[in-house]
Parts: sequence; structure tokens; C-alpha cells
Amino acid sequence: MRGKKIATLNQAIREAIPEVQKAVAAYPEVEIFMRAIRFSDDAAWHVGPDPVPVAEFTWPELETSGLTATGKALRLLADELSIERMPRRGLPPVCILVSDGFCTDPSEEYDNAIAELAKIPWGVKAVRLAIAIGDESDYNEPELLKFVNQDQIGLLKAHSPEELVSYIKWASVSASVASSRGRSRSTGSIDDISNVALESPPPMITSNTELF
Amino acid sequence: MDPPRPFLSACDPALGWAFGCSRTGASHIRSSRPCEDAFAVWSGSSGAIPCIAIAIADGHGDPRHDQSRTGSALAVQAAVDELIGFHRMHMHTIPRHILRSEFRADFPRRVTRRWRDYVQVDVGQREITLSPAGNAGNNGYTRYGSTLIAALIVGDTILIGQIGDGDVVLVRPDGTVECPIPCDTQLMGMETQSLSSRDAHLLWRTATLDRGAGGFLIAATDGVSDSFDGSEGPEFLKFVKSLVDRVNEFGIESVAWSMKGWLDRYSELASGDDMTLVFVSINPVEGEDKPQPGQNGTGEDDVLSTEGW
Repeated sequence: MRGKKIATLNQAIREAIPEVQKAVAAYPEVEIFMRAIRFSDDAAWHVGPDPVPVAEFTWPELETSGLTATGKALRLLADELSIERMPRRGLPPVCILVSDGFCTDPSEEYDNAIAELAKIPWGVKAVRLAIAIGDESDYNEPELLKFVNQDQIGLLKAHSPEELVSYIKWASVSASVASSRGRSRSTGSIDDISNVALESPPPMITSNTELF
Repeated sequence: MDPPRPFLSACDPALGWAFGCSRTGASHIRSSRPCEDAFAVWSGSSGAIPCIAIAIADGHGDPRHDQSRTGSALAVQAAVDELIGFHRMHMHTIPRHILRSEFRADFPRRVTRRWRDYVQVDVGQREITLSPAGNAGNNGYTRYGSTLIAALIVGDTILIGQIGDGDVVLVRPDGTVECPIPCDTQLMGMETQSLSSRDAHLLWRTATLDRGAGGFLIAATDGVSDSFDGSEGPEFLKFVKSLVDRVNEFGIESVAWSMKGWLDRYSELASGDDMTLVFVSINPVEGEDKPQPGQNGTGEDDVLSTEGW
């Protein structure tokens, strides 16, 4: 990812943070911590692995070039969501995958990482959303959909800077608020995927002149 | 109309003194939701053998458990009724060591069944349905889902049963802290075992303890431990020990009067959840159980206090 896409992403995340802080202020009992993974030729922590309280979170400028190691990034995520590294009790994490290209890792590596997420408890309970940037021929929709566990939301497709900013804000704010509303429930329900009910994403009306 | 009482209590001169306090959580107040916790404390005797029974319950807050406020109230009622029945049925007919195994074997099944009977009555009286349309995962009692912790102090024995989250801590007079029912390490996120679970009678955890030198039994819903560092967390246990220190210094009634403010503050500053705590000061065993002064061989003299209706 480069150029206008990465610049917009950096700006969108910076604009989203205060909105997340404002939205979850209604839930003072909830503490939100942030982490971020960047991936290109390889995957590494951009912020973390130690989580940062949202009130202290600042977004370091992200620059990427090269390949799209989505599989390695998801493996890093799955390792961090393991029960050994996460508190057992608490509200579900929110994971947002943002990509503008095909995964360049072997498909087996990508699928194994997805399978790991589907196996570990916090991987299952996390709110997992994906935002695809650019033209639909630029990325692999079925591949990104494997990450998403909110069927009613599907893949969020940002065709323009305006849509990317809007989806980043919606995904981070809406998912954080929905997660913060989590309440106790009995185990064993057959529809037991997540403790979170997300509202629909905002409708998008984009002018053709502003496409990525 | 009388103002709400800050706590409810029950006492038996031979066994000890129990009080409970339940407070609506700060997050519930902000979102205009009621307190979904309930508790009951009871003291009485049967055949000259006194006992103290306590119960706390935490109704699940998720929307699918929309009758859980009633569910938790029915849970503590079912628990106390079942404990009293257990006491009356077994105390005179079976040896003490059998009493403990009977409790472990029978209580979970019987109290679960009694709770479900009470739910059925409530459903009939209020003309609501157990299984809302479109909820395929509902086993019929989901709407009333609740946790439950129940304990009976009788003779030389303390009997404890628990389904779902929440905490039971026993502090002995020498300061030793016991968590007789270890926290369920299988639970994740906001999930808990429930009376409404399909095989609820198999999900109970029980403990039977010697009353011995007595001590202080504290039972609390998860809102309390979540305001610290969770079940069995060092900060939570420090809080529990500080309660005992305050009881030793200022007396149990003073602590009971202060509990409302403390729980409100913890909920406001930390978990935001409903907060319920029952505290039992248990006297030490003095020789074998004997009929207590003022109790005859056949009389029954009960005091029941419940909150959460």
C-alpha cells in the first residue's frame, strides 16, 4: 500500500481515535487498549505487542512497500490472542484487517492462520472486520471474507478516500461501543459466536472522481 | 413508604450472624436497567438444630436473558427453600459424613429442579412465554438465566454450592484465606454457567467444609471481584481480608451499615456491574451440637430476609 491509500489510512486512523475515546466515554467501566500490526514483506508490531490505553494511543506514521504478508500478520494476531497472553475474563477484542491486495504468503499459511483464529477462544469471540481498499480486482474478496466473523456486515469495500475514512471510523467506533456493551450470558447457546451485536455500516455514496 | 434498607440480616446465637447487601451497578443506573442481582439470608432451626442459609444470584444481563431479574430472585428463593428442606430432611436421619455426600449428590439436582418449577409458576402467573419466537437456541429457561451461590451452616459443617461466576471466600480466625470453590477456568469473556443451561445440574461445583474454629464466609457476585483483579486475585482477597479486619475492629453491624456506600463506590469507579455481597460471621464449634437455649425439641423459629423481588 502506498501513495494516497496509505496517506488516507494514516489520516483516517488518527481521526478515528478521538471518536473511539468519545464514544466509549459512556462506558467508564471499560478500559480499551490498542495494538497494531503492519505487514508488507513480513509482519511486525506497529504498536505493541504491549497494549496501549486508548487515551495514550498515538498513531505512528505507517509506511509500507513490497509484498502483502497477510498470513504472517494473522499468525501474529492469533499468537497474541492466545489464552496465555490475554485475560480470561473481559470484553471481546475488536480486530480490523485493512488490506489493498492479494495475500502474497502461501495460501496454506493464510488458511492455517485463519483456522487458528477459529480455534482459539478469543479468536472466536473477537469482533473481526475487514476493510478492502481500492478496486475489487485489486484484492481477493473471498480471502478477506475468511477473516470476517460478522456475516451481516461482510467485507467493507472502500473505493475512495472518503469511504476509507468513513469505514475506519465506523468500524473502530461501532465495534468498540458494541463490545463495551457486552453483558453476561450463559454458555452453550447454539448461536454462540460473539457477544456483540453490530449496527449496519453507514451507506456510501461516492463520486467517481475520487476513486483510489 | 419506608426507605430501602441498607442491608438485611439473619442471626443465630449458636452459629453466627449474616448480612447481605445488594446495589444496582453504576452502568445499570446509567442505562436505566434494574439490578439483576438478588440475595437471601435465613436463620432458623428444626428439631433444635439451628442453621444459617444464604444465597446470592446474578441474573445474566444479555438481552436474551430478559427475565433474569426475576430469575435471580427465584434462584435465591429456591436455594433457601431447598437448603431448609435439606436441613429438615437429613439432619435427624443420617450421620454427618453422609450429610456431606448427600449434599454433593442431591443439592445441585434438587435446587435446579426447584428453580425451574418456580420459573414455570412465574411464567403461568405472568402469562409470558418461556421460549420467544425465533430463538432456536433457547432451552426454555434462557430468559430467566441466572447464576447461584448457596451455603448452609449447620452443626459442624459448612455446605456450599455454586453454579456460574461469583466468589466464595472463607477467612479463618487465624487469617487463613480459603477459596473453597476454585474459579471456573473454562469460562471465557462474559460467559458464565447458568441455571438455565441445558444440563445445569451437572454444572454445579460444591464444597463441604468443617466449621471448626469458625471464621467469616463471604459470598459475592462477580461485580465485586471484577472491581478488583477478578476471582481469587490478590487485590480482591485483600479487600475481603480488609472487610474481616473492619468487622474485628468496628463490629459486624458497623460494616453492614457501611457496605452500601462501599459497593456503590466500587461499582462507580470500577466494574459498573451490580454488586451483591453476603457476609457470614461463623462462630466456632463448641463441642458437639447441643440444643441451644430457648429452642425446644420440635419448634421451628425462622427469620428470612430476601432482596431482589
